[in-house]
Amino acid sequence: MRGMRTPLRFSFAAIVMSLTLGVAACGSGSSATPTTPAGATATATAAAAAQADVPIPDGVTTVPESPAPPLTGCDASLRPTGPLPAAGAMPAGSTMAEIQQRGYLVAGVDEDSYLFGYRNPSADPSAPPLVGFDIDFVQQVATAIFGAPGHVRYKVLTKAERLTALQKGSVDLLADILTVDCQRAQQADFSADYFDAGQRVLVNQASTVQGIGDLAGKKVCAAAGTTSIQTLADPKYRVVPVSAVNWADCLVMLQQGQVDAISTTDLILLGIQSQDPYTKIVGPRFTYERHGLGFPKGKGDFIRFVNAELEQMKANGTWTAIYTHWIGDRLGPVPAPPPAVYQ
Amino acid sequence: MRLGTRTGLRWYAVAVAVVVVALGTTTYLGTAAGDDAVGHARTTAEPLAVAAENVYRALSDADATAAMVFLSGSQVQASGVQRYDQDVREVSSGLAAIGGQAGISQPSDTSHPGTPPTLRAAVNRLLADVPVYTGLVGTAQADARQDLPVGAAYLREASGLMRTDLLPSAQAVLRIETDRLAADAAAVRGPDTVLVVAAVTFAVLVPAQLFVARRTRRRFNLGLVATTVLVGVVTIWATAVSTAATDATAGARTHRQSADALVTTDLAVLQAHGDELLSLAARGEDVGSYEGDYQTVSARLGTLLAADQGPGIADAAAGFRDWKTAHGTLAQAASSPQADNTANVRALAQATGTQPGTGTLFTRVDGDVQGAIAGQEADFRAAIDTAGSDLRGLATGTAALIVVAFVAGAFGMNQRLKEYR
Repeated sequence: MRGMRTPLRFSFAAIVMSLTLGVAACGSGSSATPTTPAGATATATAAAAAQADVPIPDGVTTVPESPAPPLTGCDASLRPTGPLPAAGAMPAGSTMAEIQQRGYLVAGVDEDSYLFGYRNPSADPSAPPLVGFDIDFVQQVATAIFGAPGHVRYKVLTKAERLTALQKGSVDLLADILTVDCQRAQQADFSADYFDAGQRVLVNQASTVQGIGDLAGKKVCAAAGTTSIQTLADPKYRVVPVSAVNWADCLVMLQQGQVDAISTTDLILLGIQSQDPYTKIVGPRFTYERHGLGFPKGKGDFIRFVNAELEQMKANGTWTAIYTHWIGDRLGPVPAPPPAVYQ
Repeated sequence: MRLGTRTGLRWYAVAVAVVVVALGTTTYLGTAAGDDAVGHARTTAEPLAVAAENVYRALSDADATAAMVFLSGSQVQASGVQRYDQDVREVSSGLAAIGGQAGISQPSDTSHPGTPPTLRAAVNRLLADVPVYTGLVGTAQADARQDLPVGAAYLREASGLMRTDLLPSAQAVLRIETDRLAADAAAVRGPDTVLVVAAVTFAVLVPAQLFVARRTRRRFNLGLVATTVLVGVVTIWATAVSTAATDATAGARTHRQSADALVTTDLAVLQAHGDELLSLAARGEDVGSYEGDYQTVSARLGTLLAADQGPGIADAAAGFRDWKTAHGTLAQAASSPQADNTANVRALAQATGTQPGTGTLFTRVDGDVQGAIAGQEADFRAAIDTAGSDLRGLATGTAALIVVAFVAGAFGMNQRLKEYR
């Protein structure tokens, strides 16, 4: 039944995308060149038609494929120099050797982002304090340095604190679903893209809203201090942006009927949708956001090391395994790892 | 000009009648008002002040207990749930008592014109918002049992409603009810007025008898002598009793003030514990607000405990010092990078009281302060009862004596006046 509605939605998607493409990852002031939306839409429709028979879990609509917008330069990371050093034997004088000397990697994370970084519900004292997609990446990096798991200390940061922590250098890296944009690139450095996402819309099951275009004049919630709320504030969407302290507050307001929709990147929306089966994610992606692990400025050797580790994870299936474990096919088929872009 | 005997007797007869009636009225009205006030304090104002106190306390406790039950999540303890349910029951029954007394069963009810509009507004607000609050807490707990982070957002919303709306309303109700109780206690007057009127009475009775003795060659007029004796008895009785009653109500007021101060302390204890639990429940999103609030409240709590007096207060102060230390240790552990779940599990076990630490120390301090409150309230009731039993009988007793004094005086004067007809 879902499949029958799909073509209609995608033709609508075409209109929305032609209106909105060019809302690039790079915050305000970026000069992304719009690409031809017609071609993109055709691809999306064909892909959707081919998948029409695949059963999709309740509450989820497929992500129409959209081409990555051109790079802005801000999202290009440092190229790895050769293969990874052997785990447990970091080159002398490197940032990694310092971390190895200390005995643990300090990772800045969120503990309130369902599926990405959240409090381990386990009451076992020896269990990791946090679990999630981002946490798995942190664990991989630590294991690459130490050769054994368990050498991580988590520092929980609020959205307001996270970039400050990088500027102060109080964490070695930041794994917190951080969209790489030019503004943030002035405050911190980023790894290569470790997952892509795009902004979409979450509404109640019963809602007839099919995408951001149906929300003109309606209240749409996003967390304060995020790229998403800035996007919603763009007058071209004609929505009433409602800023909440965090994503869970947005869900509360949606459940209570105080807002009509929540809008952010689809992966965060999936975390919200997983908490309430009576919601659904609708419409096409209307932004394209590359995500990177964050680093304090001037740690080029560590970034090259992490990028080499990410290359390896993407090549040996670890990336796909982590994605499958946390997200699976709930947003459509498991995608290929995002390609790395280097300076 | 010399006053004629007949005219003089007539004037003195009228004067004696007037002063005796005046003394009787003063004594009767004064003691009856005091008796009424004490009766009102014992049967109405004090129970309502305690009900308002219970509502405020139970709401604060619910704020903390809801967070505790939330934190227990899937390992929820029945005791926590029962405590929360008990809090909600106390709020409802307390509001029913206050609302019923003030005639607030219907928002438009104007049958109790004595009810201050502020009380009506605050009680109506509480009646309307308590169900909203319990609904939010219920949703938070249902989410917590499934380990869904959205539960924390519901709990924050519930606590926000509690702190910005329910607690201020409960505070307003408590202030109005304790003010009414204080007014009752202040209505018991000392013997000053009675003494002034009694002095005037003697100032009439003595010259009256001298006049009668001089002009009629009878040394004593038995009627007037009886009046004088009875007026003396009434004066001494009324003075003694109202002095005792005033002392007793003054003592009661002191106990009430101590109890009020202790209630303020206890509310700070509950708020500090609630802050601790809510800070834990807010996880990474407590942008300093609950922890910051804890610091403010705990500083205030230190001052309050230092000023409080009572048998358990020394222990409460010692427990509070340990509590602050335990809190500091946990807060430090939480802010430093963590390798595993140890710090979280310990903070949780301590906060919810399954392990000795912040939670058990809270229970100790809270228990001590509550014990002291109960002690002061019992002393208050005892003092008010003393005042009541002192005053009881005085009004009617003195009224009866004054009637006899009046009749005796009238009889005495009439005997002499008859001789001049």
